[in-house]
Amino acid sequence: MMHPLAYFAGLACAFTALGCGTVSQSIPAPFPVLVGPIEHIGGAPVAVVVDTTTPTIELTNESGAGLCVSTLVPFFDLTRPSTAKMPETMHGSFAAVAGTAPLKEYVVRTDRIGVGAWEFYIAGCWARSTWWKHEGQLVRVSK
Amino acid sequence: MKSSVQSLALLLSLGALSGCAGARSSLSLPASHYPVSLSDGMLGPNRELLAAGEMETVSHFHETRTAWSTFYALVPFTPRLDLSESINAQIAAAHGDAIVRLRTSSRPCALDYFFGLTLLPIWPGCASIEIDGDIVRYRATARTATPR
Repeated sequence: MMHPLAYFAGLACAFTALGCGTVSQSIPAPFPVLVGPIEHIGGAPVAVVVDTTTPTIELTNESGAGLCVSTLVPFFDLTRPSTAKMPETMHGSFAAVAGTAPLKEYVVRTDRIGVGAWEFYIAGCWARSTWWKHEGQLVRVSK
Repeated sequence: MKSSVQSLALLLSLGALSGCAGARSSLSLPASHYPVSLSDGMLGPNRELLAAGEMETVSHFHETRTAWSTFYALVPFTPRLDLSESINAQIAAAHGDAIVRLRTSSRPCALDYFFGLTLLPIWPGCASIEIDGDIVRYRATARTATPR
């Protein structure tokens, strides 16, 4: 049987890995992924038209890290596609409107960025999880 | 008998150390006077896609917020964190035109580490949210570009 002190030792080791699981991402894409209502660009008000013919683009990234005292083996989990795949997802949506309008008039827009972080301590295991989520849509920028 | 007591003590310890705490929220900027992009891309003053050489980084945007929740992070106390005011102030101070490469970082904060208490659903949890980005200014070539 594992001594309770081993459990605390395991937790102490886990706490030293607190930097793991932190999420920090920007999207490596040449086209704009704008946040918010896009009130102004270049100091002038902008009107945008949401393209309802294209599906919502969901960009999510969740990561976790943890340690169980029974194994003392840390685990890391990246359960969702990384940002490196996001441009592909968005290019797919751009492709969906190709031929219907000049693509250069379109940008990806998201209203908000979902963020969160949790700590779990269950049955001798510790884990932490962090995530962020963007739900974007193609919008056409009016001039 | 002794091993039974030890087993019980261990089970109680593990039970007291079980729990879950944290927080969730949404970052929004409903009243931003400037465009903010999560990617490298940005639109210029004439709403054209700018090339990399048509904007220059003039400052760094940084903001820290705390999100609060309860009931194992399922019920947020702060469902929205509005960054509009901070974005408007920091871009204006830097004489910038936009923010690119906005990125977020979240991590559990101190209240999430109270073992035992996090077993209670009413225990409040929190998450520290850091937001970073690059404040850019349009170069003269972009400012004088002919509108399409």
